[in-house]
Amino acid sequence: MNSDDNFLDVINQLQDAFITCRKSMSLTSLHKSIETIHRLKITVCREVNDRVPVNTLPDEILLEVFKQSLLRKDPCRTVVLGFRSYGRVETRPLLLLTHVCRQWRSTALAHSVLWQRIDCRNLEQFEEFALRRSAPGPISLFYLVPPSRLHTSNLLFPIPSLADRLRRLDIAYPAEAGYDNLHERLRSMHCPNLECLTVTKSNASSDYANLAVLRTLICQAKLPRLCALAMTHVSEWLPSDLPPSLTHLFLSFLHYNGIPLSSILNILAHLPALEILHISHYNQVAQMADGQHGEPIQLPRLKLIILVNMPSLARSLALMRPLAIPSSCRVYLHHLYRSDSATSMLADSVISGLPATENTNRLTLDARFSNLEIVADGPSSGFWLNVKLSSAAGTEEDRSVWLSGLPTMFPLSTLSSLQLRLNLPGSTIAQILRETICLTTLEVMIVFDDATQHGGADSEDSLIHICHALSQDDNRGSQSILCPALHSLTI
Amino acid sequence: MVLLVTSDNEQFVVDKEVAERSVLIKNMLEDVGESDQPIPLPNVSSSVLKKVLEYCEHHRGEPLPAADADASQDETRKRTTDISEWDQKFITVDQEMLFEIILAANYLDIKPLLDVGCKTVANMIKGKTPEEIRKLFNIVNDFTPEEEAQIKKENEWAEDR
Repeated sequence: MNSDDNFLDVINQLQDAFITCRKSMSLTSLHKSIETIHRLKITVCREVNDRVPVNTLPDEILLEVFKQSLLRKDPCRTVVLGFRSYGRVETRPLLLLTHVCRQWRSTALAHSVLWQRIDCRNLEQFEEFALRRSAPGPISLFYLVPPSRLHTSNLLFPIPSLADRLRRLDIAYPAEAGYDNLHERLRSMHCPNLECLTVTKSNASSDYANLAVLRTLICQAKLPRLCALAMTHVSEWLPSDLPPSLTHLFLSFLHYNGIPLSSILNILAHLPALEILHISHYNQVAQMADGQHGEPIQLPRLKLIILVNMPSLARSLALMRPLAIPSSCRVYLHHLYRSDSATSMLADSVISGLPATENTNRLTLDARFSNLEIVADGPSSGFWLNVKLSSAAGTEEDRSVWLSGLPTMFPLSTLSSLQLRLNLPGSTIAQILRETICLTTLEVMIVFDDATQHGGADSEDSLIHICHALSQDDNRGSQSILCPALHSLTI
Repeated sequence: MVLLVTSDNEQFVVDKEVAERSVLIKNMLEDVGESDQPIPLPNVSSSVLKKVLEYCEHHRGEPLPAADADASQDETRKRTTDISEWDQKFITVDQEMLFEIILAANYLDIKPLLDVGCKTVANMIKGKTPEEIRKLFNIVNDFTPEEEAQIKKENEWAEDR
């Protein structure tokens, strides 16, 4: 008899023995039998699990599989800049991996690298994740301060105990007031290795707590290695002495706009290492003029400036005007709410002065309905603008102003590629094409503002006009007057 | 040409360029120099080696991951390289073969193939509950009642939003 038959035979005998004896067995004995059988079952299960193909993988490969399964394609949700107040770290998939079988659990628990980016809402979870599973490595902590702790002396229980290991701290607060204790706790906080700090609120209402937290955290806590700071719902106070080593700064003014432009500029003037600047919802009209005086603020390392959800192009440009931005810095102006012809004229003067547009060789202008989008690409620079034009009625005039302003905003004579998607007379477009002498690729799309325009005589006239203008050659018949280097034309 | 001998004593004559997709074989060839000696691969069966060589043949000539690549470069490669269409078709095999290919890639030190294998298994796991994963891989629940209690608690953390 082989092992398989042998063991199954014993099991059958056991069953028979139980049927024979069960009536005479004591309750205690029955309970003991359950325990014994349960232990045997677990032993058999483990034998099964040891042999299934997936569990033949060595630990280091299983770990790699875990890491891959936890990767997300979308950006980290902890701080979705500009819109959401906060998003928790998704620890659920990792926890579920540890619930599959004993081997998977022990592999996951034995590798602290899996537990270095954690979410913490209660003390028990914190102690398990931060103090045991991730120890002794570096840690990145999302901490949503629970409302129940707002009035206790132990408000920030997790942070001081792992200050040395903390590399990133995402701290989010509920809207309740009463943060005196928090203030005190932060005063003594020392995170010598903290590199990234985000402070968000879970509610858009009063922001005094956030203000207190920030003031203390940034001014009094010792954060010598801080290089990235994100503050959503900035209140009426901004720290004036951010660490000069800061490379990434995000400020959102979604619900409060009392900070004068001069304060923001003053901060930027003391951040020479800044690489990424992201400002959202800034709407401080009265102080716009402040930035127009004095020496330009030197930001020699700036790689990207992002201004989103600004009330107008004018505010965005006013904020940028005092900044000395390197030519390799990409400029991204997105979701600006309103523009008008006067602003367009302002745009002429400021956009043309932006180093990001100096080396443009590919340009797209897309004006549909009341939206205007400009994308200007250079070998080592880039400019993106997305703005809502003033009104549907005024859009044609706006478009004309923008189109006629292109020669002063961008170096049209060196463009190699131009895409125009708009609804403007062919003569206006042809006027632009006179400047684009190096153009090799041209795409013109006449976009109709509404269905009634579709296929209208005006649009046909526009296209005919453009084709006619492009087909005109010089008197010797050898070269086109417009775009003589053109290789590719799409209409 | 290189002569490879599998665990079941089958011999494969392989172009050197193809065989050297394996860092293990490449190092062995460098160590022994020019030689007609067969290279024994006691951890790889013929059916698995056949598949592995199909992969190496297809990717012949592609740049190999640098031997001195640091950890961050390694991570970047793993994060950014999606599974190509050909690789996806190649790795569509039964589970037993899939895990044997992974083990062989690990033993032969063929990092890109190991990546493809790990990513494939990871994709099989993604979005599934522990019970679904057990069913998929024929795993059985082997937790003790005490461990089950801890897991129940952790499930509450996972659901706590």
